[in-house]
Parts: sequence; structure tokens; C-alpha cells
Amino acid sequence: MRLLLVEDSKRLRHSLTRALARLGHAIDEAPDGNEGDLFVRENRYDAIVLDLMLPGRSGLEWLEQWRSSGVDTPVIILTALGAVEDRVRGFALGADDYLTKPFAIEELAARLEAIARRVRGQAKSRILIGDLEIDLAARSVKRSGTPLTLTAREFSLLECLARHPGRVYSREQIEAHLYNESDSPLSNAVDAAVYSLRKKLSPGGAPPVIHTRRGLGYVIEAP
Amino acid sequence: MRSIRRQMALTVSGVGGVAVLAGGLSLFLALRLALRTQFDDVLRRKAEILASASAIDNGELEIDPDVQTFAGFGTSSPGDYFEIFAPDGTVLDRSPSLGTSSLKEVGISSHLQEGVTNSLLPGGLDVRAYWRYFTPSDDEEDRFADLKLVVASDRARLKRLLSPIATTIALVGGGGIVVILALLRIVVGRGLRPLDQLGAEVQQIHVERLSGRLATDDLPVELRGMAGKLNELLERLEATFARERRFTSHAAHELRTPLAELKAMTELGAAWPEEFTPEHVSEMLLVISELEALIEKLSLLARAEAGTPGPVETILLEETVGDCLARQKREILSRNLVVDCQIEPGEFASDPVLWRAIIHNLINNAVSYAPEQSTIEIRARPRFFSVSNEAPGLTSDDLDKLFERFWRKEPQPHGGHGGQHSGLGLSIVRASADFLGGRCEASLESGRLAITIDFRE
Repeated sequence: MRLLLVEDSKRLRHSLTRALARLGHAIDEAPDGNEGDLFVRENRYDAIVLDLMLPGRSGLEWLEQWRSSGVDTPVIILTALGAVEDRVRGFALGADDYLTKPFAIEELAARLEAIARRVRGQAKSRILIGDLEIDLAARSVKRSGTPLTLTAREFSLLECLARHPGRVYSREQIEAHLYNESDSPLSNAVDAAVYSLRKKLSPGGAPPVIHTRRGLGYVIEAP
Repeated sequence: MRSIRRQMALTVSGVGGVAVLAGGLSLFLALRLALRTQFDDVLRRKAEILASASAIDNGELEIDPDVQTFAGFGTSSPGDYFEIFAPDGTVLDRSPSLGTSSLKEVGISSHLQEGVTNSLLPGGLDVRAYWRYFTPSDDEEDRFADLKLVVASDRARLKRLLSPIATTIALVGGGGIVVILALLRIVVGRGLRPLDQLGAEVQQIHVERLSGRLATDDLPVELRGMAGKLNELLERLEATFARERRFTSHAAHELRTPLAELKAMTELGAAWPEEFTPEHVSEMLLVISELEALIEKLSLLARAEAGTPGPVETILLEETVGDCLARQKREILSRNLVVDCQIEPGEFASDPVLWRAIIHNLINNAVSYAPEQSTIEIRARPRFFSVSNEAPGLTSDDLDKLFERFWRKEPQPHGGHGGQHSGLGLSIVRASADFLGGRCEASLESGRLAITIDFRE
């Protein structure tokens, strides 16, 4: 997923960014609302992780501004306050979820996943494409019942394509999903990643599930 | 449950009812007295007529029958009686209406010449009688001196007059009570309506919505004072709740954020051991140090607020201030700050830990928040300490919050100041000064914030 993290604590921001990147997400990080606002205006994110108590304007004030300007990206609020009225106010302003500090990174990742599923309209975390079985929550893949081992970036690519089987994704769309603002991928990085993933998804000469649409991009379909 | 409305209604109804009853009774008694007086006058006049009409004829006492009829003792007046007795009790004359009854027992009072009395005659007649002694005017031989004349009328006549009056008074009085009760209910209800409205407004006050105030303009003067006081109380409560909310919010931020940092850093290293670099570990230790410093500050604050006495030692003011300034030297130099420090040497006895906390926090605060190249003024003498610095952005509204625990003008990014500015410094200063018996005040003049600790009073 392509994520934006707005958090004033440098240490927390750094740790979350590292952990989520290792889980295969592409993350942009901002220390305050002003910088976060620039990212929101320039990019399309799958979810935003927003701290409540930011220097200057609070996270809720930024959220209110984003929602009123038509930004509908799901937002998870990070807060040190657990009071019900604060949560209610956050939800009223358009927050999708709340996480009270301190929290487990695993829980944040699971909530991000759940939000992404909700946005995609998928109630379950398992996606079946022919004999290919993807468990987004457990971040595992099986082909004809055989477990496959993917890197975080390969899984992220698979997740991107499997969101809408049959839909063609351009190289730019895939790149935006896989890399953050500070990454500088090589021009053939997406093709290389697709090649590697395609190979891993066809163990023992199984028919390919990822297909190339020349001049358009890539698509995942049941063989 | 006690009800003012019910109590007032019952009390006023009771008093009103008693007043109506007393009025009715008084009216009845007055009318009865008037009727009885009139009744007695009639008896007296009849007696006068009979006495004056009595004559001695052939040695016998006689009264003209026409006069008797005129006086109301004719056969057509069965309820009126008279009887005349000789001093020895012999009946000399009597009205035919008496029949077998007698008025002999009426007026047995030898020392009075006349009188009026009620009497129940042997024949069962209940009469009101007037009696008097007289001597006929033509009693030349003086044979009929001191005759007793008794004139009586049936009391039923008087009762017949009084009965409808009593009934009327009772009916009017009863109706009056009912009307008074209904009016009282309306009047009491209207009178208490402002109190009801005030009560309803007070009931609508919720702990989460203390911004509302009671409307006092339309209230009667009796309730205005109370509503005004309630509004003052609400204002104070609102300020207290807002302060507590700010404290809870800031305390949660200050305590939970470093915990979240530490947890995330630990989880990152635990899941991917290659992330446990020396820099990562030293950063984790720094978070722990910051938490330790925060806990120390909280502990010091708790001690000052609880008023736990510490050892009393001699405070060397110049030395303590110099030591605190030396600790800030690097920051002072790097930010090109000018320190104008004037100390009147002297020593006094106090709690060294709390005094050091006061001086250290005030100097540290000024050095951290004063703009670069500005001047910090320190004035110190025994039992007095003051620090002032430029404070751009601070307003007079902030002065009340300045000493709140965890309050800061703006949330500071974590990890930026090594946890030095948690927002506890000035609350420690005030709590320490209060505990030591001093006065801690902040003022803002021409953009300069001055905080003064004064023990001289």
C-alpha cells in the first residue's frame, strides 16, 4: 500500500516507517501537518496515518480541511488520548479508525489492511484467483495449496494487481503503489519486479496468472 | 420529598381557611348578638307596656286585654308569654298563651331589679325571658308593691332567624375557601414559575456542556442573586474542567508518546534484528532517560504539592544561580543570549532541593524560550528571585495557564529537546514556592515575561 505517515515524534515516525516498509508498504513521512498537506495534495495514498497532537494545527484540524477539500483517503488517527469524546469528534470529522498510543506495529498494519479492504469493498482478507490463494492479513500466498515465499515488495505488487483481477495496471500506477517519494527506482524496476513475481507464482511450470498487455501494463487473471 | 409549592399551598390554605372560618364565625356571633339585643329590647318594651298598663281595679290588679293584645300577648301570638307575681309568689295575672306552664322560676335574683335570661320551663317551653320588679302607679294602698313581671318569648323564633344566617355564612365561607384554594393554587403556581424555570435550566446543565449560563434578566429579584452565584460557580467549574482536560490531554501526550516510541523501536528490532544498530539502541536509551527525567519531575512536583518537608539548609544564592547558569552556558552561547544577572549576596535557610528546582527551572525556561540575541534579566537577593525574558507569541491570556502541569504554548516535537521541556517546569516552580511559603507570580509587559518568587511577605 502507498501510505502517508504524519507524526511529530521523529523516533516513532522513523520506527513506523521502517517497519511498514519492511512489510512491503511504500511510505511518505511528514513531521507536521504543513508537510503532510503537501504530500496529500501531490499524491494519491491508500491510507494516511495521522497523529492528533501536532505542532501548530492539530491532526483533527488537518483532517477537517482535507475532508472539506474532497480528500477521501482513509485516515487512521494516532492519539495519546483515549477519551470517548475525542474519538467521537475524530470520527465525526471523517477519521476511519483510531489507535491509542502506545500500540503494536502489528496492530497498525492490520488496521491499515482492514481499512484498505473496506475501501475496496472486500469483507474477507483472502483473495482467490483460480488456484492462486492470497491471504492479505497473514501476508501469505499459495498456488494449488503449495505455500510460496515472496519478498515484501513482491507481495505488495501482488496485492496491487489482485485488488481488481482483470483490471490492467500501468507501470506508473504500480510504481506509485510500490515506491515512496524518496525512492528512486530504476526505469525497469517494475518490469523486473513483475518478472520475478510471475516466476515465483508459477512453480513447476504452472500456467502464468500475471499477463502483459503490451503498451498498457499488467493484469492478473485466472489461467 | 419536600415540596415548596405543596408546603406554601398547605400553609397559605390553612391560614386562609382559618381566616375565613374565623370571619364567618365572627359575623355569625355579631349577628346573633344584634338579634338577641333586638329580641331583648322587644321583651323589655313589652314589659314596659304591661307595667304601665297595669292598674288596680276594685283592689285587684288588672291589665287591659286590648293592651295585652297590642303588646303581642293575644291569642294570635302563642309564642309570647307574661306572668305577674306578688312578692309572696302569688300569680296576679298571666297571659292565656301560657296554658299550664308558668314563668315562676324565671329571674330568681333578689339583688337585681331586672334581667334577661334563657329558661326551660317545666312544660317544655324553651324561652328567653325578661323580668323586672314594678309597682302599679295607682296602688294607693300600697298593696301591690314590688310585683315581679316576667315577659318571655319562645326562643325558637330567635333560632328560626339565626338558622338561615348560619347556613348562608357556612355556605359562603365554604365556597370562599374553595375559591381561595383555587386562587392560591394559581397564584402559588405563577409565583413559583420562575423558580421552576430556574430549576429546569439547572437540570439541563451537563458536566460536558458547562458553557451555558442561566438567564437572569427575566428572573425576579429574589432569584437573581442565586442565579448569578450559580453562573459564577459554572464559570469556575468550566475553567476547572477545561484545565483538567488540558492536563489529562497533555499528560497523556507526554507519557504515552515516549512509550509508543520505545515500543515501536523495540518491535522493529525484535521483528528485524538487523535494525538493532548501535544508534538505534542508544536512541532507545535516550527515550528511557527522558522518561526517567519526566518521572523525576513528576515526583518532585508531587512532593512539592503534597507538602512533604525536606531538610533545611543554608542557601547560598549567588552560588546556586551561578551553578545553574554554568549548566546552561552552552545553550546561552550557541543562541547568543545576553544574561544580565544582578545578585545581592546573602544567605538564608530553606529547602535546598526545592530552591534549586525553582532557580534551575526558571533559568532553563528563559534560556530555552528567549529569542536569539535577546537579554535575560536575573534579579536575586535573599528570599527573592526573578527572571525575565522576551516572550514573543505569549499573550496575557496565557498567563493563567502558564503554571498548569504539562501546559505549553504549542505542542513541542518529541525527542527535540532531550525531554527537557515537558511543560512541568513552571508548575514545579509554583508548587515549590507555595510550599516554601512564597508567592510566585507571572507578568507580561512590553512582550517580556517576568516570573517572580517573593518570600518577603
